[in-house]
Amino acid sequence: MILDTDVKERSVSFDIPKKIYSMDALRIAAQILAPKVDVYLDETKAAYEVTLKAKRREAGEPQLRSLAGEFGNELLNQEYRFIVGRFNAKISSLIVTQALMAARGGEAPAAAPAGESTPEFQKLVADLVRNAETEVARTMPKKISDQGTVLPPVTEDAGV
Amino acid sequence: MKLKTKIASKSSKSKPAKKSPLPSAVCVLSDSEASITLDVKVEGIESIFGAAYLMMDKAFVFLSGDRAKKIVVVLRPKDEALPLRALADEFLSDLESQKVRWAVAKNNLPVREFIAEQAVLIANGTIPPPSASEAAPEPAAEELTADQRSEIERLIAEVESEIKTMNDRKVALDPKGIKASWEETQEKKA
Amino acid sequence: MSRLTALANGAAVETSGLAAFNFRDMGGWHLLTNDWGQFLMLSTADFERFMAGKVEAGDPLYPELESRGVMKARLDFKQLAANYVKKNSFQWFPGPSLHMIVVTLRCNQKCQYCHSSVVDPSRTDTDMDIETARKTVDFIFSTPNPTICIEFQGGEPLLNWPVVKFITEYAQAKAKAGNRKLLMALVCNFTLMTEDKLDFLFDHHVSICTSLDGPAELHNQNRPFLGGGEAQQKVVYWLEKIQERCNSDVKKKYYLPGALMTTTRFSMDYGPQIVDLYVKLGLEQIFLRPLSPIGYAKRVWKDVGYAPEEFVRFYEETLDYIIDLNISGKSDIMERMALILLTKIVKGEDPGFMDLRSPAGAVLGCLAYNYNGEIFVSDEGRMVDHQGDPIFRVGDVAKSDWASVIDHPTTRACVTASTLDNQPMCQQCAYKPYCGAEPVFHYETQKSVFGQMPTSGWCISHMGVFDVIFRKLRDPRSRKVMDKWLERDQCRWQESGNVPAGEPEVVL
Repeated sequence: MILDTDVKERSVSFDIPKKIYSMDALRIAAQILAPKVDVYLDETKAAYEVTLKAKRREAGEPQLRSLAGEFGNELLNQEYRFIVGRFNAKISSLIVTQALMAARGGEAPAAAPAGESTPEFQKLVADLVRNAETEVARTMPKKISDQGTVLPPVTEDAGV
Repeated sequence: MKLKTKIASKSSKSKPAKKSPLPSAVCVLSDSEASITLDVKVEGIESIFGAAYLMMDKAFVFLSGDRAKKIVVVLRPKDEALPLRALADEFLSDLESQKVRWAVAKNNLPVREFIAEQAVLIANGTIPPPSASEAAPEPAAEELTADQRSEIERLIAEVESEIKTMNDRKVALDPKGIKASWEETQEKKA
Repeated sequence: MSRLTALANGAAVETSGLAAFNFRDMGGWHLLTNDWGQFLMLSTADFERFMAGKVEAGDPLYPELESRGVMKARLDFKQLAANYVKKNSFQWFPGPSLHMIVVTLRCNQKCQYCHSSVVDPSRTDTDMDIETARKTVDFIFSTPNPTICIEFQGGEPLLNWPVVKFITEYAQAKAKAGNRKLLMALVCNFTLMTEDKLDFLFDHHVSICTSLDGPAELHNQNRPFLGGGEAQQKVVYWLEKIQERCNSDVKKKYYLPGALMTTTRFSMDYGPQIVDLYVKLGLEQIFLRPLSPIGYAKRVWKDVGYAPEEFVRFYEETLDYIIDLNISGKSDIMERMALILLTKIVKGEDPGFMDLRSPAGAVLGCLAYNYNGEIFVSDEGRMVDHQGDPIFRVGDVAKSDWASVIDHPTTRACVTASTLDNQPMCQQCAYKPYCGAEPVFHYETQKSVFGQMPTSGWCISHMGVFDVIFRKLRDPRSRKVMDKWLERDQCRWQESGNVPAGEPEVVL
């Protein structure tokens, strides 16, 4: 594989054959490596001409070659994932659709239970809210020792 | 892509196992890379990608060529101390295993899909789950019920139809079988 | 060979009669599994005969192959489908059952690896307020699963005690009014526990869990107080105190406290000592959990982290020690990860562990609610948000309904990415029927929810643990111990019995 590195520009260039890799895989690989490189793209009839520019200032020849290798691996990762995804499409679609539909639990949300609209329930909730707010006001923002609560006197085998 | 294995019929006797054919690989080692050229028709596109994919923990992997014809797999070890020959050998070994894994997967995809559909129907209550008596060991082939027999035959027919469609497509493109491998030619003669 | 392992060079293979299965070379023997959870252990010689098509009817091996779903012409489709339904019952669950509520980010400890990215105890602006707490509970009860488990987390949840109490009482009132089954759990560091708080928790059937990383020198190194100081003594004190109260009242025995340890680099030399401590404290289980490089832990990984292979080594050595204790009769302590995997492998059931599901439990099985009402796919997703990346946020209790959360693109991405039939390496792995791929882990470590399995730390460590478990299953002495664990775990579930609908229930 021919890698054209330019240490001064912190860049490495190579060709991606269109008969092997797709634009979709290229886009995803570029997105995944975005924290490390800026990706520049040109193309001929047979290939995508990719240039990676390292974001780190200290990118020497070995680092540039390594970035190109990572990009190539991510391309392969995506391309093979497409192959596998297409092969198992029927089964995986069945699983994903089934799981999402079951979790959704139906089109319309369930109505609030009748028990929650009784005056007793409403009063209970109002009391809970009032008590909680009172306790928050009473106890916060009291300074709490970061050592926690005080324990009873230490016994012989404290700590194990 | 032609499937190289056949689906067993009810009355099939055990056939002598096929030894794995020698890979069509041509391997070239340079200072820093191993390049392996593979015939896609012989090795299979999924197997080539699969074997290349599995090398990613040890090597930077790059593919070139043409998915329909020949692919060159270039392996550059992540650890320069890793011998190139060992890397290439590992790839070739995984390639042979990938061919088996993918053959088994393709042979059984209709069955897996069918069972997945059955699972949904059972879970949703559309069909009942197997009862305790149904869960008894499978009867011998000659004791299959008519329903079981026809279900198996339907599945086999489905897969064989797929194989036939792929073969017909290939014949249409190559009526004189010029591109057929020696092995495929021998199979036809047999 | 690759981590998937490979066939022997020049192996003779006849694929025509083979059903769908994946295989793994275990060194001297082979493991075969299928999507429907069946597994088979064959000597290498038998495996080679089988793969070569040389096992026919009448062969002593034939009945076993037939019964384990690897012979193509001998498949019981309906039974395999039923196996699949049982093993993957979660795929049919009507929404999440586990709801983790982070009631505050404040904490009085500064754990070395803290995922939660905590803040100083004075930062009450990171407390969940009452209105948000109420909306959170309302949202939880709008999700469709008839069973709800609310788990309090933090920071340190006891620092926002009024809200813990409010949520407990409000949720229990709603459960009763709506005839829903409700379980409640509290995860806290025990350093702020008091008798009054304990009384409330017992009275309201809230189960309690803490973190105990090991002996004092290890625990205090991992989990010091914010201003320095040793916390392990307090953890042990309250563990013993709560156990004492539980054991004195037969109705409270299901509330025996649990403890979890987190494995750091410092833990690696302490395996047996950690186990001995758990045994001494009478804890029934220990969960040997790896640390994940997510959130804050990712930043300090070089100080506290380790390679996945190191964790697998630690796991195997410590599990060996635990099994030896069981065999010798010195203790019957169980290892939780082993129990989870054994439930899947041996019993063919789902143990409810979100990370090892296909698809994963993110949203489908669990949700995490931040102190400010934001909703996340999981607690790990919330930690990613705390580091500045909101990608795993799927809603807000003040603005979202359940439909918008389940329909969220992030939800769909996580579900798709964690379905193992979409994963190139997983779909060929012998551990596929029992494993899972966690999307947040892979996003954090590999910048993609799908990840890249050959180089994934998640895959390396889980594959390693599975290797350990299956080797143990093949060893008769270890198998006997593990079968007893499964039996005990079954008994525990049976003992809890049925609780009238609407009444608070025990968390086990």
